[in-house]
Amino acid sequence: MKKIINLMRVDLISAKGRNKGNFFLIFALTAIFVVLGMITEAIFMVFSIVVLGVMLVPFITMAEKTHNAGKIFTVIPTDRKSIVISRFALTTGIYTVFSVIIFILYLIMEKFSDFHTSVISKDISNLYEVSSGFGTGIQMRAMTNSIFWLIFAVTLMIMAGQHRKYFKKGISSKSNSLLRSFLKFLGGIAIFYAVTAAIILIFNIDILKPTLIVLVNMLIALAAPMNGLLLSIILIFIGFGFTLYQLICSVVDYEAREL
Amino acid sequence: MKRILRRTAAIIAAAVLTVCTQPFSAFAENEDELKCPSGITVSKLISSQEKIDAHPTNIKNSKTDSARVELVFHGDEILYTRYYGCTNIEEHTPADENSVFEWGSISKTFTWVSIMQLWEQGKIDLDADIRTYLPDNFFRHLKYDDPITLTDIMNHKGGWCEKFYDSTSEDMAEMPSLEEALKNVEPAQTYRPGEVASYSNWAAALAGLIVQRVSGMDYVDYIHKNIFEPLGMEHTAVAPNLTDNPWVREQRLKTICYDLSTHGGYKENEDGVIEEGIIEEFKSKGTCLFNDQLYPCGSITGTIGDLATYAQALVNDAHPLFKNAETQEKLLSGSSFYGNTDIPSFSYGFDVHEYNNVRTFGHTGATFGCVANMEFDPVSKFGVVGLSNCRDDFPNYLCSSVFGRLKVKKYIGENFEKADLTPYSGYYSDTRTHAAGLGKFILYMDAFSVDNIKAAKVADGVFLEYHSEEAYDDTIYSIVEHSDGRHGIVNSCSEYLEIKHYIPKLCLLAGFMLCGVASLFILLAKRKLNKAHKTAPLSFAHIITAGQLAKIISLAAMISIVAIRVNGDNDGLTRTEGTVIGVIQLICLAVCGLALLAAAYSFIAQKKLPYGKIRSLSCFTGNLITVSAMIFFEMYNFWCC
Repeated sequence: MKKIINLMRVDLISAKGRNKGNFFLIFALTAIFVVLGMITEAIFMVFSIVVLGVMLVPFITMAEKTHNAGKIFTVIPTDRKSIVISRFALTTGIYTVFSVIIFILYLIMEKFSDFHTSVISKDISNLYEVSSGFGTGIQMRAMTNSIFWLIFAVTLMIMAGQHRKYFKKGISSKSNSLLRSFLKFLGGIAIFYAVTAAIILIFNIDILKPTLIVLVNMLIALAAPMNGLLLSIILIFIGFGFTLYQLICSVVDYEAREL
Repeated sequence: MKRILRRTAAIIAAAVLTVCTQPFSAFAENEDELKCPSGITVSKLISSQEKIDAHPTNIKNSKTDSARVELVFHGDEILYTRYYGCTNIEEHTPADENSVFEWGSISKTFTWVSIMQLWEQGKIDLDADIRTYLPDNFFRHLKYDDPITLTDIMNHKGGWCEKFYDSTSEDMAEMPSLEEALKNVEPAQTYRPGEVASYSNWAAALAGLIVQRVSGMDYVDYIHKNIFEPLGMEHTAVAPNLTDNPWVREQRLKTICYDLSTHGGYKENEDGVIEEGIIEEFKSKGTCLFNDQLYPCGSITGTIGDLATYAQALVNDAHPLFKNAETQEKLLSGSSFYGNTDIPSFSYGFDVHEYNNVRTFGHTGATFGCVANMEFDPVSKFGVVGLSNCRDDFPNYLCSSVFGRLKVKKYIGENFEKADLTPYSGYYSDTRTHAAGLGKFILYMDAFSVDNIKAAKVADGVFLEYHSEEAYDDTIYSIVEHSDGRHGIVNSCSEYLEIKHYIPKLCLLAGFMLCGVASLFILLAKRKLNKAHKTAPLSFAHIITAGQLAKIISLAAMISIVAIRVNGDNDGLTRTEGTVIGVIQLICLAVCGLALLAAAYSFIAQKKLPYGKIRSLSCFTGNLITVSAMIFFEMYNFWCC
């Protein structure tokens, strides 16, 4: 355990280096979304965790590109498994703590939603409640809570994917730049939509529809109780479960890699 | 100049004359003129409808839209008929008096009328156990020994959940008898008879079999002899393949059914200008003609004229369908009521609607391709019937014009009192679902909490959903308490039944799904570790791996139930499909059971492995969740569902 904590320190020290510009970029973007959430709709704060999550892994590994700090790990007396675990634990820890803080802030701002401009206006909320009819739809509050943790889980998965890619292929000046990783994230969404649209067109939805029905019904059923708490727990479980899977794979990949 | 002055004077004189004479001709309302229950005069209703019909946009759209036929009657008189749209858009065949449509569940009311006819003849006792009228050991899936009466069946309180298996036949040569068909797809009895309302097509068809057995006539012959012939309904068929009326079959084959989809886009307006708007597209589904083995519940097909004739008979004081006027009165007097009020929720198989000035009776219908509506007021003798060949275009547009507004404000008053639903707090699910067997999990995916409902009090235990002054629902609900202590929220013949301990059950279902997904990743990780020769297998590793595979297969089998239902238009699985899925689930259950034991042994055994205890424990937990979920949700039970 002490070894892992020490390795985290190494990561933090190497990240501090001359990454002030990138640090400021992350800080500014997250702050913008937090402020945006405060003055408009509280759920918009969730974008701050996306920004942090997507940029955190490249930020931590940036020093290896700028200072060739990756070599440190070849000289310090430690095993590769510990390096992988420490890197995963550091980024996941920072991201989780930050997300929890933002969620608490989001809950506080929700309490005072009447005092600031509401983008998802009361009329729309009321219309949603009416059209759901007889309690059969999920409540708006449950839906926003679930969306927050869904985005948390998806971002966590993306982070785990970034780690695995790094441990498998190492860092390159092109692939791990902050801007590039953010653009890749957007590109990934575009590709996902394109592939989905292609499947829908080719297969006439027959394959996707039933799976989607089960998935959506189950998500709605899980989101309804306790203001979405149940679904949120499950989404968090999925996020960490996938991270654990990527961690195991990363250990195997990193140990097999020639440094 | 003189000419101009003369002309001006003439125009002014004509205008004065026109204005002065108007009040006596057009604006004065004749007190003796027939008025609809809504308060509007019949002439005004007809003239306004004719104006709509004559509108150029309406005429243009009528050539490209699906058919919607509506008719208003008063007693024996047909007041207005509207034929809109096409029975075949591609061939531009307009709907007319010879167009035939499926009446769907309106067919059930023919069974209820037949039951009442046999009751007034003394051949049937509405309160006797139906087993009296059926062959010995007819039922195989009864859970309760309590008697099931025909009144229960007419109120949809026989206790059966929704049937799981498909009851349509592609080929008429394979068509079983009504009795065999009922036995083949008998659903599980999940509710105590006479207590819980659960709309059941199967039970309605069972009533048809009772009509057949008690009358000693084939059901089709009985309906022809006792309803169609006395009323002169020559353009209606009841047999599943419509062969009892070749003309109807021929006409029905000409009717194409459609799905309506709406989306944003650009279209040409009346002035020929391209503008943005909502575009409606009708997608052909073919004839959608199906042979339902349970035909008494929904096979009647006919013209709008014949549907009107049938509805007119039910408001006729001469009671042409019954020997005694009392039978007709009883049929439309209400058989179940909301709480302790005199507001009927259902009337011997007929839906009841409460309008401001009238109470109407009737039924709606929906098949794979058509929708139908029948609504009439036995007091004012007004009625509206409608048929359509598009499931998304329900033909009840004229009901509000004829009957007025629904009676919400009258019940709750201007300063409505809030109904306190906290004593009934909990999760509820529609009873018209699969509550046993392979599809039981579906029930737990449709539940909702009453805590979110804003209710306005109508009477003790009777309420309606109320959002605000402008937005309220017109549906009345009453709360009932059943013998097992569970609450139910009743509307008409439907009920939302309380699910005790809903959240742990939902967690179990979610856990089952998560285990399936997690197993996929565990197997992928194992493969990776195997390739890298880094595996440290637990005891009985092959059984544990087989258990993980079984979890994935079991989840896929569960999803396949929904897949088959969606692709088959929600009419259920075939017996073969159900058996295959059930057997797969049984095998998966056995494998997961073995994996559970293997994980338990591995946990107890003192084998030194990295994270051995954690791995054994997580494996044990995963298998325990899967096995428990499979047993609780009866995922293997293909024989009783």
